[in-house]
Amino acid sequence: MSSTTALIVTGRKHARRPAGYRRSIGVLGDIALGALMVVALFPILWFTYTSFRHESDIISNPTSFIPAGFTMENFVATWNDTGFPKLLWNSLITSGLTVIVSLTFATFAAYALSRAKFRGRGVVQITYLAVRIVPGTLLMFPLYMLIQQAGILDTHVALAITYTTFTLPAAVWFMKGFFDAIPPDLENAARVDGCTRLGAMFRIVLPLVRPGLAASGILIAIEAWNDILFALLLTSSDASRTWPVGLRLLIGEFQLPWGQLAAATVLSILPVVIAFAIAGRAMISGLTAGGLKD
Amino acid sequence: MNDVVMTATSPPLSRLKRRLTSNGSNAWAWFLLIPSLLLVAGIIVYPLIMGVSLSLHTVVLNRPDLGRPFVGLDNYIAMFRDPVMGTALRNTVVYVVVGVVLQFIVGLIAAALLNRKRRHIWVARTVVMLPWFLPPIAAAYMFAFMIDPRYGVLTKLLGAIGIDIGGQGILADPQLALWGAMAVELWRSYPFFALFLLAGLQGIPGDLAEASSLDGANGWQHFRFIVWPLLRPIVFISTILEAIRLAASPVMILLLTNGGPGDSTQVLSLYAFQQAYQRFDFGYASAISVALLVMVVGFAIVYVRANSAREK
Repeated sequence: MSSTTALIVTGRKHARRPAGYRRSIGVLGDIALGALMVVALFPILWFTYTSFRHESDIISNPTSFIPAGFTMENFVATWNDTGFPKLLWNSLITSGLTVIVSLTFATFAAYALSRAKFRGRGVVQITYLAVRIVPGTLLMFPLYMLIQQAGILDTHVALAITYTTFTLPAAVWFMKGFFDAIPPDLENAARVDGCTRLGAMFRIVLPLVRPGLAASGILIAIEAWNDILFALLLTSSDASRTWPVGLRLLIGEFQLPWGQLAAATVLSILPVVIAFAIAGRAMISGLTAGGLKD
Repeated sequence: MNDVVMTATSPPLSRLKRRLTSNGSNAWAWFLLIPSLLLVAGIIVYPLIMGVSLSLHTVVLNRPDLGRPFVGLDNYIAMFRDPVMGTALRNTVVYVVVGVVLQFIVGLIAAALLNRKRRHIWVARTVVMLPWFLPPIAAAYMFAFMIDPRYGVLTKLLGAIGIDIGGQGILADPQLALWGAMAVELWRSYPFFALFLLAGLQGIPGDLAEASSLDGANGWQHFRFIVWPLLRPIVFISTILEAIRLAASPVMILLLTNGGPGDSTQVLSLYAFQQAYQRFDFGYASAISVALLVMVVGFAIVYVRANSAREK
């Protein structure tokens, strides 16, 4: 907004309402927004704080904001005495596989849906969305038996294929938004120069949607990283067990102390928080199909 | 066939354009679509059919001696005799309806606050949206710790203003446990609405606010008669998506109470999951899930009808 229009607008507002009224509304809004941010961050910060405290301190002064010294002992114990590193590794492999497969399929599908006008396009688009309506609990049991028959129960691949299906619809939607934003004239020019359809896609369009690919990749990775429900059913040993399942079992098995539980949680949400800090803005814009400006 | 007719009747210029943009054939598009469609068919459509079929059989995985006889609607009839089903159905309705309403209200307020022109508004947007991207299990244990009767910082804070949740704690109290789970769900999931509604608000031109202000509308009237009608499509889509998710996903309740104490926080999706995961009764679990799917689809149809009727 340029300064002149700003002047005119505020001038009008002045005529209707006292300046102080609008300013105090603005301040109230800032306070409310600050409160929302505190509510969002406090549980995360409190658990992080707990993870650096001595267990004895947590037990004797649980709600004290002033710690009796900080320690790394919870992290060391979690890392060395439990199978947690292996669990994080499993989650990493599974999420990585999911990103590769899901992003490839989603990019292909989204490009086709963005550029081709063909019969049945609407049906295809609805098919992807309909996936979201079927309760996971209904698919889970046949899927378990299917994966058992295929002999890939308790493997990274079985989980990754499952997650691919569930992340695909959002990823297709997401990538289609990015493709729609690129003018087709670019590819048309390349194709006049003798490029094939797919050649134009790979050489011209994909490099342009790199930020979109990154944001979709992170979104897919986070969804695969966070899931516990499918992992509970489809994993049965440390061969493929992901961290949320492992953490839940650790708590049951060892009566995990709060400090260690907090340390394990902090370790596992760290990648999510970092990824979100870097790509959060692009992810939020992408999820709302480029609707967000400024 | 269609192509030939189109080409014959199209003027030369648009024919040229068609050649350039579609190459006269969409084979390449199907080539790109088929891998993901096959995957969706393999992992969604086939299991969906299998799931319905399972619900009509006795399938108890740890009892191979029973075989897998076809039992017709026996699993469905068993649901009506199962006393837990009543509780689970009631809790599901409460969890979905109250959950969607609360999340929507908080999400709308957040969207309005995040839609203002402020420096560094993107920092606020990112922070407010963060919980939605966190693992449910992290949210569950953070809150379990904060509302722990002995060690909880929230327990103490609430105690300081006269609300006593000490003793057994919220999650062990049959009267309160479901509300506790709902509160954690609210914390993690309202950003979903904030995200959608913020996108909707951004699509509304700023001039409209000025115009209605000039016409003498106050803030509420502006919201009610200008903003709300424009937001309605987004309100519709986001509420239906979240209602379906809350009905179908047992994760937060599984992690916080696992349906307990007793069966006081049991919901349909969790009950189905437990039947399979703890009792290996895939037949009964599938029957409950099919019933849930029928309810979800039924709700969606009624909701879509009601919405389109209002638009006319």
